[in-house]
Parts: sequence; C-alpha cells; structure tokens
Amino acid sequence: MSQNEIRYSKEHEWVKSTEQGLFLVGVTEFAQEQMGDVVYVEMDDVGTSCNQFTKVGEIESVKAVSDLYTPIGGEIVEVNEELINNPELVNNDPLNGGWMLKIKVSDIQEINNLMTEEEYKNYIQQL
Amino acid sequence: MGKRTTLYNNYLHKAKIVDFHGWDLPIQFSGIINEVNSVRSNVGIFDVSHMGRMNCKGESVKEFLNYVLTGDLLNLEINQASYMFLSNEHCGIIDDLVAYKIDENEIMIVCNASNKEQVLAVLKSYRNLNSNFENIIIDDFTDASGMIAVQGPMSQEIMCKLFNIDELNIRRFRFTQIPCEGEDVLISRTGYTGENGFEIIASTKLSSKFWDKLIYLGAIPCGLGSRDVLRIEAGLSLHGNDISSEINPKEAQLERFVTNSEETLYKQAWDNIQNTPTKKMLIGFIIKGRGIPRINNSIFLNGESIGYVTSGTFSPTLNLSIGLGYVTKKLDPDSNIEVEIREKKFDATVTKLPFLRR
Repeated sequence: MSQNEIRYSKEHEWVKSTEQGLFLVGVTEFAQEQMGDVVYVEMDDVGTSCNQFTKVGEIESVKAVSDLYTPIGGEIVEVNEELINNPELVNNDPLNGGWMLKIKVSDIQEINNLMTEEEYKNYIQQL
Repeated sequence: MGKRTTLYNNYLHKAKIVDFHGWDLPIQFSGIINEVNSVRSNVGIFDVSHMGRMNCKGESVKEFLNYVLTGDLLNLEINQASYMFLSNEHCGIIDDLVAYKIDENEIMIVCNASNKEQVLAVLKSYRNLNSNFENIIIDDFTDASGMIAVQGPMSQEIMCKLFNIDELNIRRFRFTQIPCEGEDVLISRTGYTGENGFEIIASTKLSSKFWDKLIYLGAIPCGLGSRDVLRIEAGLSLHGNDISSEINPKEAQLERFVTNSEETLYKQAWDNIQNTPTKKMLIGFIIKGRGIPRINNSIFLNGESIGYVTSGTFSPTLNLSIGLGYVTKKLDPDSNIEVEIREKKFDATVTKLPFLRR
C-alpha cells in the first residue's frame, strides 16, 4: 500500500498510511451522511492496543450513537483532539480534518482484509 | 412503500425519507442542527400533513366531545383552539390533540398521525352509545388536505408575504380563515417548537403551492429530526414517548389541560387522581458532560434506580444534552441525579421545563 492510498471497511471506516508504520483512521462520507450531525466523538485513550475490527470509540449524532471500529489493529498513538470542540469536522471533512485516530499498526497484512476505493464504491452502491 | 402526504413530491429529492408510523416522511433536509437553528433564529417549515384532521359536526357536538376530551369545549370561543387530551375512563391519555371551534356546531380536531384510527374509533363508539349524539358527523378529511407548520421569529413576515397581506394579527391559540383561490385556508397561531409560529390547513393542491412558495420566500424546510429536538427544548411531550394511555395528565405534569368540570367519562378517575399522591412524575433534566440521554436509559438518585428516560437529545440551542423522564420520587429543580447511558453514569440536574424560554 503506497502513501495516501486509502482502504475501507464494511463498517464504513477508512484507513490511510502517513509516516512509516503510522496510519490514520476515520469514517467515510457515506457514514457521516447516515449518522447526520455529529455532536460528540469519544475515542479510546492514547496507548490503548486494539485488534482489527474491534470497537475503539463512539460517535454520537443528534439522533443516534454509532460505534467506531478500527479497520486495522495496533496501538493508538494519537487521537484527533480537534474533534472535541469541532465535532462537525466529521460531517464537513470526514476524509481529512475529521480523522479520528492515528494507529501504529502491528500487522500490515491486515490491510488485505479491507476494500480498495473501487471495491468500496461498489459495496455502498449495493446497500 | 408507506403512505405519502400531498407534499411528498415537493421534497422527495431534497430530503432523507424514513418510515414514521406507516408514513414516508422527511427526517431531515439540510441537517438537524441547521434546521433547529433556522427555526430559532429565522423561519422553518414542516410538512405535518400526516397528522389526523377531522371535523365533528352536529347540534350537540360540544356536549359530545366534552364527555371524552379534557378541555372545556363549552367555554371555547369561535376561532379559538385549545390543547387537550382524549382520555380513557382511567384518565390515561389516548392522544393529545388540538380542538378548534369553527362555529357553534362544528369542532375540528387535529391529532397525532399514529393515533388517528384510535381517536376515530373512540369518538365513534361513544357517539353510538348515546342516542343524543347519533346525528353527530365525524368527517376525517386528512387525505383531502395538507398541513404546513411555519415556525420561527420570522414566521409572521413570511406568512404575510405568502398571503399577500399587510398584517396577520392572530393571538396565540386562535385561528382565522383566509380566502385564497376559491377556498378558505385555515391559519392558526399554533405549533410544536416553542417558537412563534403558524400552522396552515388547506386543500392538497394549495398546500403543495404554499410549500414551494414558502421555500422561494426563504423558509428552510425542516424534517422530523429537528421537530423532535425543538419540541424537547420547548419541554413539550410526545405521545408514545412521554405520554401514553398508561400515563395520566397529573403524572405528565399537564394537569392544566384538564379544565373540563362537566360530567365526563373520566371524572371519577380524575377526582381520585387529584386526591392521591402520584406514583411517578415527569421531570426535565440536563446532563453534565458529553453524553446524550436516550429512551429507556435508567435514572438514579443516590445510587438507587428511580426512573427512566422517555425523550432525550443534544440541544443545539443550549449546546448541551437534555432529556425528559419519569421518576418515582418528588425532586425539586436543581436536584442532582444520575442517568445511565450505555453502562456509564452521567451526573445530571433536574431542570424546570421548558428548557428554553421564549
């Protein structure tokens, strides 16, 4: 997987590589549209280890709460603190400013369990 | 496919549509927060055509309705509307509704969409029980009409523009009928948002025209999502959540809408209720911290479970989370309670309703 390439999970999270071994995680445009206006984002603490597809946080919109599942396993090394005061970034800029976690990946092969951009586009069209 | 209101095609491609008690209705247009802010600061419009509308006509219509409704219809004036309940014999709230006195022999009822069939069935069963009322006509005209709520501080201005009039002087809970394209359009100063606002009832054809013109004039289309947030901020109950046929008006803190002192179906039950302490009562509360209360979350006082949440939301206007619920202990405003949201207890403060004063 090359720098800035993006992969998607069935739960509508994305992951993309930044520096060596570090990956950003967030939710997709499709997910933010389904959730509606996000008002709180609660994420697990920095230092927490997580397995692929396990719950690492909660995203609360005006009408409902959704769990955030990490599309890749590893250690949380940073959370996006901007989201505490500006949760609307998740709606307005889900793929960039609305990123949620930075993860130090333990097994890069897990990327192969995720969808490419094209596969994900096909996936959401069938929903 | 669910039932669709006459305005469905006006907004089909501009809204996210959901099923609401068998109706396909917009949950949101531009986003719940934007819609709430628009109603609080400007003007928003809601398709409320799904709500039940029926005319009750006949010489003894006031006496008939007085038997089952909690409002005082004998003293209601022509062109006055009043919020009240359809009560069962135990004083349980079958539905909450607004009765409009059209003239001495005609009263219009607007009730919840989800309860319309039951309201009709209850009214008809009482009509058939008493020969004095056998000539009363109950005409459900919901599908032959549309209803639009125009809500917000700029509602008066936009209504004047819509009807091309200089002023619209209607007091709260009064209504008027304005001739428009060969029909009488009913305009009431009512709503479910806590803001100044109006509701328009017209033919299906005119309603569709009004919707488009209101948007052209600058009104923001709003969905069920923002409607729910606005009514919670205003401390207004929703039937099915905060009130039901298992809840009486005293428990719901709505005694003031039982004003009928005549001989009624529920009189004995109501006298008993008034003379005994209630087992549970509705409260409003504000959550401290970043949690949003949801239906059926438990409420605690000093570690003891004392109740449950019936409505909850994030309030964009107050920028905090608020809720309504029932508790078995009498709590003063500012009492500290806890609300358990997804296995985590949040501190909360009992708050006098409404959350938002206008």
